[in-house]
Amino acid sequence: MALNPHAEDFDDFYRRTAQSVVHLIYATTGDLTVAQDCTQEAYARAWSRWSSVGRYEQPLSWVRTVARRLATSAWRHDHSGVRAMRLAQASVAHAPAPSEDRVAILTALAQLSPVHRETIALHYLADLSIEQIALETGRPIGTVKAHLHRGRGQLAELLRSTPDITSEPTKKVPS
Amino acid sequence: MTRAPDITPWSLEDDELIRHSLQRLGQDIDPFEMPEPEHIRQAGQQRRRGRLMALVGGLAAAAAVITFVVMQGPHRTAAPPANSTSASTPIPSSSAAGRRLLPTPTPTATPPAPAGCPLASLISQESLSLNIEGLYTDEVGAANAAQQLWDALARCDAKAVVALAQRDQTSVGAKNQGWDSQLATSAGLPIMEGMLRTLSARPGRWLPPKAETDTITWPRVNAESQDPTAWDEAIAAGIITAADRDRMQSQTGYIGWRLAITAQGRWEAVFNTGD
Repeated sequence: MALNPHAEDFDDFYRRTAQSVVHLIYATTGDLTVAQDCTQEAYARAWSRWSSVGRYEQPLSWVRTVARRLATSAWRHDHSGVRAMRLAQASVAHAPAPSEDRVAILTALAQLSPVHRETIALHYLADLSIEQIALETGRPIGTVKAHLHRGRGQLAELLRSTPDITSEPTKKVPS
Repeated sequence: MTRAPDITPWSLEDDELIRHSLQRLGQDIDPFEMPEPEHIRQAGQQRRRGRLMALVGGLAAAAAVITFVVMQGPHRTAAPPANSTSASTPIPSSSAAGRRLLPTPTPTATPPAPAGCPLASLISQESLSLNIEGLYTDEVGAANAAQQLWDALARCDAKAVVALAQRDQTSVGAKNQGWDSQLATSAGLPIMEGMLRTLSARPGRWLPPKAETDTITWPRVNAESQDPTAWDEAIAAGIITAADRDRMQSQTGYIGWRLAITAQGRWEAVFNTGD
């Protein structure tokens, strides 16, 4: 049976972009499982209204925003929403433990405020400009500028003071 | 995508350090294989079916309400409840003028419960029923969602309750963590009973009112309310005792069961710690 052309369109979009959303949410929350769950849920929601989302100029922006909100909600409610998602989904894979250098990066990120972390991730991982971040988060441009300035200053200092980060990643933390 | 010019003095080395570090996190993701798109579409399809069902249910309920209102004539235009000085009564606003109250549902509307469902016996023994007193016709979504939840509780159908919570991404309070896995066990019965009793109390609104939408809450007593009637309603519903009331009034305000549904029908939250 031939695949629905919308489905092909969606599948292609999902394959091209899903990993970048997981990456973004992972950097924002420091929890890979939450990132995977929220990303899957965001894409499922996108498919449920693909007739309109698929026509957006930036469907990725829509998915990213939904995933970010789900992640925020999951953390705010002590993962209850994500737990509900896990119950609803047949399979949730468990990622291997991060290597030491990446643990150090996550530790540094964890010391930033959530809003700084989110702004940094949107700027460096989603490659968004200040104006685009302002649009996507609904914050004033001046606020985004301040968050980016303070966040990256703090993060650079934390990263510079962590020796693991300057070396090449090799060792894995035992899981 | 184009990058806007940076507005602060910035070391390129620092910039590169951050970019490189964040990119490294991607190595944790690479080994993980994302689910196939078919799996995602299947989950999305289920979500869409849920929305359609809710829409059809909402339209049917709206049609029934419109028919009822037309048959009743204009004399049922909403008026503020007698205790309108209470902070938890319907929010007076210009848009409230001319709004019509929803009719009270008949208790017989609840589907029959399976044998051995203690909540069905409770409903019968205490003559409990869903309370939507004071809701307006433009809040039929909330009434409809409350009825769905009530029906599931009255059947002791834990699976249906969890499905509703998953559909609406319902927030739960600290004491309810893990409730979704407990509901189907004997430990879940007090939770379902708490929700059932809560829905039998007269609803009110969040305070302060949310800007984007009204959220209906059961019971209407809240931390700000000093209205004795609202407190009595919570006692009558069996969700607090008179001793609880006295303690809460003197120390904390209301910190008992609370269930919130948006006017559009999304089950927003269920708490039993006064969140």
